[in-house]
Amino acid sequence: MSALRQPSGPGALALGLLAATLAAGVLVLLPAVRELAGAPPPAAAFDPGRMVLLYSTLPRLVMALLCGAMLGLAGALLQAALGNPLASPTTIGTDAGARLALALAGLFAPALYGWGRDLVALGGAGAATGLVFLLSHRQGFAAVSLVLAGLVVSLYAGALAGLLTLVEDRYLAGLLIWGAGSLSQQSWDPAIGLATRAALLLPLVFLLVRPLQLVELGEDAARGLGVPAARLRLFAIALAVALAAFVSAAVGVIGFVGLVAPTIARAAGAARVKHRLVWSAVLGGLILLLTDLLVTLLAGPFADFLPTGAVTAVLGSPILLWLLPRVSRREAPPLKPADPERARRRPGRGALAFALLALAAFAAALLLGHGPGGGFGVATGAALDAVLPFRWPRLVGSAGAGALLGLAGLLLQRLTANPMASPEVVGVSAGATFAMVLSVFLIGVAGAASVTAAALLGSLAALLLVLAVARRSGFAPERVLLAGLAVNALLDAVVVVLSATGDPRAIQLLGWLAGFTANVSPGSAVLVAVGAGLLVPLALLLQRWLALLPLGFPPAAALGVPVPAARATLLAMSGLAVALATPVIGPLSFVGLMAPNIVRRLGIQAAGAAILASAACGALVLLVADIAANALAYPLQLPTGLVASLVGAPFLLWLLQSRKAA
Amino acid sequence: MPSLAVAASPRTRPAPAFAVRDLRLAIGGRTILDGVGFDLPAGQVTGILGPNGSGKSTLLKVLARQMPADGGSVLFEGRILEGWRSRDFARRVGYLPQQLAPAAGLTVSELVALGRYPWHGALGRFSATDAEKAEAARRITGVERFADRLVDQLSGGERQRVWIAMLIAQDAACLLLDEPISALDVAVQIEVLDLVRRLAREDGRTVAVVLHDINMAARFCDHLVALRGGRLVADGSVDDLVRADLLESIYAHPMTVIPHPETGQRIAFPR
Repeated sequence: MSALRQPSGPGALALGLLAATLAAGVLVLLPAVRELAGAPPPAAAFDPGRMVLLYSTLPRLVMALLCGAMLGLAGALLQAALGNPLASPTTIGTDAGARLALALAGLFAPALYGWGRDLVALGGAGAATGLVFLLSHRQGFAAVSLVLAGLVVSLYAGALAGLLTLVEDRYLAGLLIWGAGSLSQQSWDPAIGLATRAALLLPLVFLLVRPLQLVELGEDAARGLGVPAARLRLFAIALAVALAAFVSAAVGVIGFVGLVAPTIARAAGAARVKHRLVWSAVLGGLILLLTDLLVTLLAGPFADFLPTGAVTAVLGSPILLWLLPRVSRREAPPLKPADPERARRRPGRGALAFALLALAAFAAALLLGHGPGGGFGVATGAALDAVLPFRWPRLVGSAGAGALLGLAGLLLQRLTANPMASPEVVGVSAGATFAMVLSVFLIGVAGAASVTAAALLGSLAALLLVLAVARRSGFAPERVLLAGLAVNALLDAVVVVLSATGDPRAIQLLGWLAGFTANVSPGSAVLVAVGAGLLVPLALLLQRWLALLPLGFPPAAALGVPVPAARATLLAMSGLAVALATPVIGPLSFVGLMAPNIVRRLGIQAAGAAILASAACGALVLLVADIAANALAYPLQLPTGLVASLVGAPFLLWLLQSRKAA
Repeated sequence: MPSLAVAASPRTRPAPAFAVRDLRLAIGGRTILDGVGFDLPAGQVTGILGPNGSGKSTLLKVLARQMPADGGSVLFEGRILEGWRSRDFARRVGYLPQQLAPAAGLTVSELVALGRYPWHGALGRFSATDAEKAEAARRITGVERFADRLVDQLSGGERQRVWIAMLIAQDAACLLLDEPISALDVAVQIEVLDLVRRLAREDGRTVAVVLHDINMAARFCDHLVALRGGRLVADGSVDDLVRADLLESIYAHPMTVIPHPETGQRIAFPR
């Protein structure tokens, strides 16, 4: 019941932030101002210190204030329109859509400038947001479903942008710095341009204040009072998307301000829509300005290369993690039950069919392909002997990684009772990637064993972090997912910052993230296969827990299941599976999300059969992706992980969308 | 015509299933249970009454070992709660929470079979006995005819029956039910409570059930306890409790008690 504090809350908070901002501002500006004041009036027209202050530092500060305010406002608008305390441009895919659209424009239409860029950003942001709504509208935009759909779309857009930068690596560093939201300025023009756009949108926002308050009562109640609730919500969302897209077009993606500002405003006691909108804008502006000043102060001359947007994500996600357990339980509605699915009478047969298909794909991939001479065909005899050493590690690695990811996805989806949960979403993949990046950048290890060890440590650390945050709620599913979301964003931002340094290893890193299986060593292929061979049977042994835990804590505990220990065991198993698979296939394959959903949609529900079928389906998907990655652009090798996600994600969207109406 | 609950006078009270002594519990500085003590008679249906926030659900959670108490003691079959191994306890005591998971993707017979977990554990074989018990539980509760349907497609009353069937499959001698009829219409409420009482009568099970409706409680329970503000304010037979003055002190609202014009059972309503 945090909303019942004194109305002075947000004001006092804003004053405190203002004081801190002023202090930091004085620290940043003082040297330049003192130098200017002490210096004699400029004799020449050219005075670098004065010019930097007037045309770089000051516009940058104004830009920070403006962007922060617009993002805060956009977040508050979205939260009010959707009745969802977790909505924000960052969490519902708006940012990622704008980022991808602008990356495309930057590569294929670099001359685009001014309003053209805004339109591109608006198109991308609108498309991504629309996709997210399409995915989550069946669950009434329930907080967690919306955020999960947003995360999936964001990750997907990120994978596409990653592929672009991989192909066009000349632009890599610039794109990454921009993509992460750099506020550095060279003139007043962008600030004036953005202010114009904000001024155009503001009157429309004011028109919405009162009707939005009524929409908060619920769509039915609002309609009873004569408010066209559905149209109004759509309009408010469109406004928020426009605000965020304009900011993206001007400075790139600045994550989390749009989430943190409204959350803080609400927690500080701004309860009514009007107050939330105003205070979110004020706090958003101050937060971004303060962050930017601190970046300038601490990074010194490198401030222009340290994207503030990445810093807000690094700072913002811990704030989100800290806030999560404190968001009143009532504010985050529990997950609605999934649409009823048809349960199959003989689920074991389905699992067997998947296993046979995976085996067939494996055999086909082993025999079929481009031979030593370059021709495509079935290899036999001596030709087979020649290609086998090249093919088997790749295929064993793909199959093993696919099985592990399918298993991990199934475990997580069953544990959280949410079909959108997957290793990618829960942050375990991000943890593995993060540790791999760290080990390459800081320690310089590159061997298969040491990288796998790093990935293992990283994914387990991410898992523990997520669990620690979710522990207060007794590992409530939605809390696990939200904590994973925050961890994901945090680690992603760190990886972006590291990559933005322009280090040549960043390109190597991108290749790795995309999931090239061509370089899989026999050692790591065997490791992955053994891991799958051990973890899948272990999961089969524990299938009763998997059947009981989705019933929730009280019934499972009442039946004598040691609930916390069972949850921890299964989570650790999924962490281990992801850690083993990630070095081979990268974090972006989405197999962990796809395989269990395909299996579920086919009606294989019984825990044991679902375990087998998910693992087999994961292996099948990656084997098919591997064949495609090798055959499509021969002699060029495409990254298997990315091929799997580019082919699989639309398929998955279609699957989730084509549910029959309840 | 349902037999009246007057048969349950405390004359022949057997050894209690639960013996609760001086139970205290606070959550976040707020006292929920404040020195509650009573005996839960074995082989009878005991209704737990009280206004919202009086601590009835919490009391049931403590009995079901879902939540530890801060002070006091609870004995189940003469042994303190903490002394029971969790699967042994689950073989004796079944608990039905107020909020039930949607059990997505499970069929009725699969959900009922999950009740056998305390007997076969995580790794044991699902034996012929387990299958028999599950089948019997489906038969007793009358869920046989939708055994192959999905739980999340059932109506509220049907779903409640299926969950009770799971507790029966658990073969527990004692059932703790937290507001099992709160979202059901009157006919289904009576149907579910009829089932609950039949389970107690025919197999000698002990039942403790949290109820909101004093008249439902009076009709189906043998014994009643009432809480108010975390304290026990009444403990006795239906005749002892359904009295205007006592109900007034429980619900803090003037109540009238009159005999039912047809059955003669005493009924209470707010004035």
